[in-house]
Amino acid sequence: METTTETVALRERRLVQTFVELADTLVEDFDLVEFLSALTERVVELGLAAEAGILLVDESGDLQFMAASHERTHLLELFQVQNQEGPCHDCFTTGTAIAVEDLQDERERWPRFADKALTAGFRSVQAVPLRLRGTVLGAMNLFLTEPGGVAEAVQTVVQAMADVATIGLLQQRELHRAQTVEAQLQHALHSRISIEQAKGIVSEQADVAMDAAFDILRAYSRNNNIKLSEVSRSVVDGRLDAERLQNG
Amino acid sequence: MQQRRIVRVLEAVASQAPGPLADRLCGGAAEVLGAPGVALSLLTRDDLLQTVCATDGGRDGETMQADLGEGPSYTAHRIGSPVLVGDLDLDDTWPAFGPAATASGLRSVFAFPLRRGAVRVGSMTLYRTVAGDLIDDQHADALVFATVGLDLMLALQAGRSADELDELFLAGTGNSAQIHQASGIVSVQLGVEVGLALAVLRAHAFSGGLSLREVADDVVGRRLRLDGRSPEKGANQQ
Repeated sequence: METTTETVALRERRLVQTFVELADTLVEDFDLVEFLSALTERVVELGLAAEAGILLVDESGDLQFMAASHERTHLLELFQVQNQEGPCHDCFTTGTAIAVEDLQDERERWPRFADKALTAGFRSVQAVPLRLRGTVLGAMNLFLTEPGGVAEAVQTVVQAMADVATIGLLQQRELHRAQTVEAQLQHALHSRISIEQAKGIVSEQADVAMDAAFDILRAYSRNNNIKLSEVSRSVVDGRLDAERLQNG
Repeated sequence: MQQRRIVRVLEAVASQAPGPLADRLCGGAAEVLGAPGVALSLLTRDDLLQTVCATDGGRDGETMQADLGEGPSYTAHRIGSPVLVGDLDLDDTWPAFGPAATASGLRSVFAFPLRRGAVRVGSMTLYRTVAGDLIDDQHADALVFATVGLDLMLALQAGRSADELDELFLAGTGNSAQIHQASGIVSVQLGVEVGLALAVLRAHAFSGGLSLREVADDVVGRRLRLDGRSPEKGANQQ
């Protein structure tokens, strides 16, 4: 790997730029799912991982999928299995980062997770906690296609990205007065659930697969500059349907 | 660790004197959350507040809100997140309800929306005669009570009989992406609201001896339709 002063400087510049951009979006009325998706997309663009995602804990103590760099069903399933086993599960229960250099060595530790991840084309993973004081709110999950895991030199960057995700979570403006962390978490999870409900409706109305339904929702949200969670809510309330989404 | 919270909530409900599940839920919540007044109410689109179950103190509070057309239950339902007022004397959110509640001896009130994603059916509201915030543990328990309360309200709306409800809950309060996607799919198939579609899914799981997640997977995988039509092979796939 090249580590000339020039590339290091370039990487640092891109990093600073990324944090500034992310901070910028927090100033306005932002959509948390979009924010976390953008954050995981930046993780990939910075070359930290091939794909990345964020899980948050719900009121029952289960980890729920919130956002990913590539919102695809195969990735969703990789997150879901981590309620039972996997790096995010361990990261959440221990409150510490979990790094795996080669998934092929972890088939006994996490039989289902390792199998699914390897089948999806990943070789190493990392999970970092979303931490607030003593509480773990969830985890950020990084997937790499090569063995070796996330480089030592960028571990602090990865944790910083996870911390930015936590800040985003606590910055939701739609909430009434000061709210507890649990309520903020739950509010975030409800935004995600609305999207899943809307995906189901659109997939049935337009007769398309779940991933395509998400793309339809997101395209409408972006084209019309309406928050994804609001578009989803309109779909669930029956004020928007697949046909209008596709024409708008 | 958190799983124990659900167990604690369900145990509190189970240990109440025999009676309708809804009443036991309110009784259990009053006990665990340290609030003598507890009420679960449905809120309709035209802002009609209908109390489904309540302890005595809870019913008085909800009646007051319904009469005045405002209060924490309405607000929690509208904004979709909890409304926590640890001291009503210091609060001016509701010009009519605030003074009326204080005059009746209430000092603090906490309202939680009965909500799942974009589905919002009403609220669970706690009334206390002493000032003070909920402690963290009570707040977290209240969120679980509200989740169980939501499922109960949906089941009641779907017309499930009272003696069936207890068993219906053994199917669990599933929260996976597939369950929410399936609720959306079934709502289109049956032409009903998403909340009702979730209750239909749950009832289908219960009557078939399956978990809610298994039924949801079949619906999302297009192996099962709940409108009586046979699933078309290959439909909705890539």
